[in-house]
Parts: sequence; structure tokens; C-alpha cells
Amino acid sequence: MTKKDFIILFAEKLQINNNDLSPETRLDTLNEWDSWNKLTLMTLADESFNIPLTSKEIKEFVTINDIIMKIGEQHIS
Amino acid sequence: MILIKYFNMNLEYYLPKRILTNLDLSIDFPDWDYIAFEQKIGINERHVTNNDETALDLAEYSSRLLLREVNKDTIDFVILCTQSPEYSLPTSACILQDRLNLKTSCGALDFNLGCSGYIYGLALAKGLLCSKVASNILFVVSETYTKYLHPKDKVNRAIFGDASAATLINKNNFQIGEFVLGTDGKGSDDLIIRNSGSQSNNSQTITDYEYSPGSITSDNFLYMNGPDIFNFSLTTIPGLVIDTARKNNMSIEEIDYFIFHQANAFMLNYLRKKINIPEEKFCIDLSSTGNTVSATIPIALKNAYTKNLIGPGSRIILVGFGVGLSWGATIITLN
Repeated sequence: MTKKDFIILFAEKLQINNNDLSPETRLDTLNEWDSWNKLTLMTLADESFNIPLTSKEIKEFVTINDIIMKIGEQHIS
Repeated sequence: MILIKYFNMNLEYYLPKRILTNLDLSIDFPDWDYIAFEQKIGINERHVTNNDETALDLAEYSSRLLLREVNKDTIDFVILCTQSPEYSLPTSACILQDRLNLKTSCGALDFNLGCSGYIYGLALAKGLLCSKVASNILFVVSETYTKYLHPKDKVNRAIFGDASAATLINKNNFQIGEFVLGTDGKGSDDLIIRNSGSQSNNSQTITDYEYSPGSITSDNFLYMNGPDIFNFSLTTIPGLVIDTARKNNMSIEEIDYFIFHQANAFMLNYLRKKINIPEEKFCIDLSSTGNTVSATIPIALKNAYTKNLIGPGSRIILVGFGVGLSWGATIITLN
């Protein structure tokens, strides 16, 4: 999966317009980045990459690229 | 073989009269998108106790509903599952015995568990029946988490509701299968009231903090680490369901109906897909009650029976999980 594909998937799951997103987008600038959508991200990582995310890891994400880095180059490049 | 007489219908529940709708909550939280919440989490309203109404009161009310059809003098044990006891001491189940005017040769005890409580109560009751300690058990779950919530805690005020359920358990016409239980106290901080019980410290200054955008709590109130509880559920529950089926010599396909603790519809839908459970066999029943902790499973069981979704011969898996962290599952068969 490319970074662009991941952003499309991320936007679809969180119901955000993907035209507004890039790897550099800060999560705290998104109105949709609420507690329920953090859970949505957990299901995305579990479902698509079999990667469990902890609340501590999610708290440390600043940009979308941080999520991509956590999921790893073997999945997203 | 251990049989439980749930039917006709020896399971009753009670909901407090006061209803808190999402529209009501949106007055306290004007920026809250409650329509999106309803769609995602599946809760439209919840029942909430008044200040002068306790979990013991609810336990009494649900028990009285049950005892309309049961000779109370046959009851020889009371098990009460609650994390909202009337006092630190005495035991709430002892007061319940007196309020219901049950015979004094009746055993009674409380146990403290939350969302896994109904499963653990069935396991305890099965043990008491197998060992012939008791023959007619009144098993009550009763919870009033709403009293533990900070008034500015948007997330948890939207999730939790109060309720009680009473079940008569004896050897007549209901089969309880094998259990799989589990505990991980490392997660005890994930759902906790820190300033409570023997850890109460009334002299310290308690400050409010925002644990999630728009949701405030303090150490005097309930705190839930939603993401880590969610993560625990995703990683533990699929294996729990598979292990429970295996221990009961059944395949997942042979289970007729799945009743999980009704935490929230978002989590339940995800777990259903992950375990490959057909939608029509999977219970989601929390729109008018919210998450009522240990009461969600018996409420869902009673409602499923009333709606003819289950009936004689149905093999139903019951799966509880949450605060502790604690989890458990069993398969019951209706006769």
C-alpha cells in the first residue's frame, strides 16, 4: 500500500475528505480526531495490518505520517 | 447436568424510571454530534437512578418482579453482583435477604465484578448447585455507574446507564455448559475510581482533568481508558469465543445465538466481523439502555427470548468482559 492509499483508507474510515489530508497533516487540527475515531484507527490497524495500537502510541501520534511510520514500511511505502 | 430455570421466564430486569436521552445530553454538551454518536455507538437513551435510589433498591425491584412467579421460601441462596454496594459493610445481599423477606436459612453474599459479572455469577451458582450447597439461587446483578460519573464526562455519560436483573437458578430446565474465565490485573488502571474504597483520601486536593477532548473527570469519579479497553477486547474476545466453543465440544457454527456484553455497538460490530459471526445470530441491544455493566447480558437474553430470537433448544454463548480486567464466557442451552 502506498502512503496515498493509506490516506484514502484513513479518510474513508474516519469519514474525512481525503483532499484535505497529507502525511504532514497534524491530527490535532482535525475536528474528526475524537475519542471514537481513535478507536476507528485501532480497528483499521488491526483489520488491515494486524497491528494492535495502544492508547499510549495513539497519544504520541502528531501527524498522519507518525501513524504510517508505526504501521511500518513493510505495509506502507 | 446443571439446569437453570430461566424459562418461564425466570429472569426479570428493572430499569430506573428516569430516562436521559441524547437530546438531553446535548444540552449539557452543545458541541456534541449526538446523531453521529447514535449511528456509531448505537445508544439513543439510558435509564438513570435518582440521587435517593441505589443499586440495592434496583436489586430489590428486579427481584420482586421475579418473585411474582416464584415461591420465595424455596430460595436458599442470594448472590448479588455489584460494584455499587449500599455500604462498605454490611453486605448488600444480607440487606436484600431481609427486604425480600427470604428465609434466614438462606446463604447470601456479594461479589464485586463489572461487565464480566453475569458470567462469573453463573459459574458460582453452578458450583453451589453441583456441590449441593444450594438448590434454588436468586442471582442478582445491579449497577449504578451513573453515580460515579463526573457531570462533565461527555463520553461516559453517553455510554453508561443503570439497571438490575434477577435470575432464578436451579436444577429444573436450563443447562449451563463449561466456562472459560480470565483475569489480567495489569489493566486495573484502565477502568477505575482512584479515590475510592481503602484508597479514599478525603484530605487530598482533587483536580479535574480532561482525559479526552470535551470529557472531564477527576480521581473522585470513574475513569475509563477507552482505547486500551477496546484494544484488550479486540485481542482477547475472539480467542475467548473460540476456546469456549471448543471446551463445550461445539463449532462456532453450531452456536445459535451470540450475546456479548453490550459495551457499545461499534466494538460489537467489529468483534462480530472479526469472529465471522452472521449478523442475524449476533445480539446488539443497547439503544434504549446503554451499557448497564453486569446487567447488559441478562437484559439482552430476556429481550431476545421475548422477541422469539431464541427459544427451546437454543444454544447461546454469553460473553462478558471489562473492568478488572476480567472476562468469561459460557454456553447455555434452553430447554
